[in-house]
Amino acid sequence: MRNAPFKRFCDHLAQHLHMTPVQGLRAWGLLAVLLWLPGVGGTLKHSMLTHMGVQVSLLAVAGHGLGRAWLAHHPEHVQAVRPYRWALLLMAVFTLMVWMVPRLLDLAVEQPEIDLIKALSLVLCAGLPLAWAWPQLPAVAQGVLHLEALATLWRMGWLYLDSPSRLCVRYGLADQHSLGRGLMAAGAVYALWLAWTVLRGQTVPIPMNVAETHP
Amino acid sequence: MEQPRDLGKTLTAALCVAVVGAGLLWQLTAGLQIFTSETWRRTEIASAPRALPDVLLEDEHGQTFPLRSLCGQVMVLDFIYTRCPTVCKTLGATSSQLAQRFTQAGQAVTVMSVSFDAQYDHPRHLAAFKQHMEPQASTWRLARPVHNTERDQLLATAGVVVIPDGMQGYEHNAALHIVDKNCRITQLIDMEDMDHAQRTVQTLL
Repeated sequence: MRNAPFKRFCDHLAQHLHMTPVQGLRAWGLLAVLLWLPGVGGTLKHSMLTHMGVQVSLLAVAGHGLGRAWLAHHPEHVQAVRPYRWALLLMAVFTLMVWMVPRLLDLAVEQPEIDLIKALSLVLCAGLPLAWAWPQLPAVAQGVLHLEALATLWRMGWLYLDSPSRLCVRYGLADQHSLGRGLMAAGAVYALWLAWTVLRGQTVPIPMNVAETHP
Repeated sequence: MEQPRDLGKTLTAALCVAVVGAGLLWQLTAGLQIFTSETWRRTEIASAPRALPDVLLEDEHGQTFPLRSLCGQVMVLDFIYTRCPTVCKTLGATSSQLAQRFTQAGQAVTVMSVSFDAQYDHPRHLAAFKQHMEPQASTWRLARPVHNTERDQLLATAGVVVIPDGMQGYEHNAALHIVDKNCRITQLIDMEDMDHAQRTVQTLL
């Protein structure tokens, strides 16, 4: 399974916005900074749903965008990172696992230093490595990762929805349940998208050289 | 097909990241045991008891006294606010019953509920809450910090986090705080577990 629809969307967006790779780097970098700054970041941290569901997710997305823009700007790095694709994937997975721990979410609210580490790690150690590793993973691995991500969304959603006590002391129980419902809904949308992708039978030939992806 | 040299790089890099990542996760969760702030608070206090700060309190009779004037006796503290519709009522009932148990056993233990809602919980509200919670008066005391800064200091020491619930009330992490004769919070126990609280207090007497 390939992320062809998402890739086409990103490319279409970039073309529509007439963004060069350098502009892409600036745009994604700006998004990451905005998501962290006290104004937007502080507002997003008021609620568990927006903190984990929006800010954490978008920081990883910004990192992913930065990673793609970087490779578009430096196509010679595509082959250079290939031997490290599994390490990059593991880095992204571990980083996301860390920020799923409820106590870490509390610490990010309580301590600005932890919040900064959260933003930097999600951008540079989750989103960016994932952007570099993903296109070079075998289709089977991508399929397994899609399913595991879906299962994680639903597991976390169920945990937050079903737990009778608050997992984060900085957020109320109703807020926690809202996050649970949000994660379950996101999982449902993700599942539909996966099913649609599979049913359409999209395949993308694995590029044999850099020129095919970066003319 | 991957070259042997690249395969070596791939495996080495992946192994290094796996070890560092797993190690980091292990460290942050204390061996995959602590995932929530509340669990961390309880574990931390059990391993490193915290000295109660010097806080001026006002009880349900309007009498003021320093919290540390109660040092020398084992205490069971909990944190409430009287407008609370659920959790604090359970805490109050538990505290009242605990106080009665200690009295019946002839054990000199101070059981006290401290309100963090100083603005509303004047002594008369504290007294009304006590009367409502227990048909038969016990040695259970209620009090509120006189100064907000000291209240915040006490809550921070106990690790109690109070957040608005959006309905003019509060949500907070609740527990029975067992305080030894040296005025140190030594253990936190679930508010429903009176038997455990009683046993723990007896080990400190």
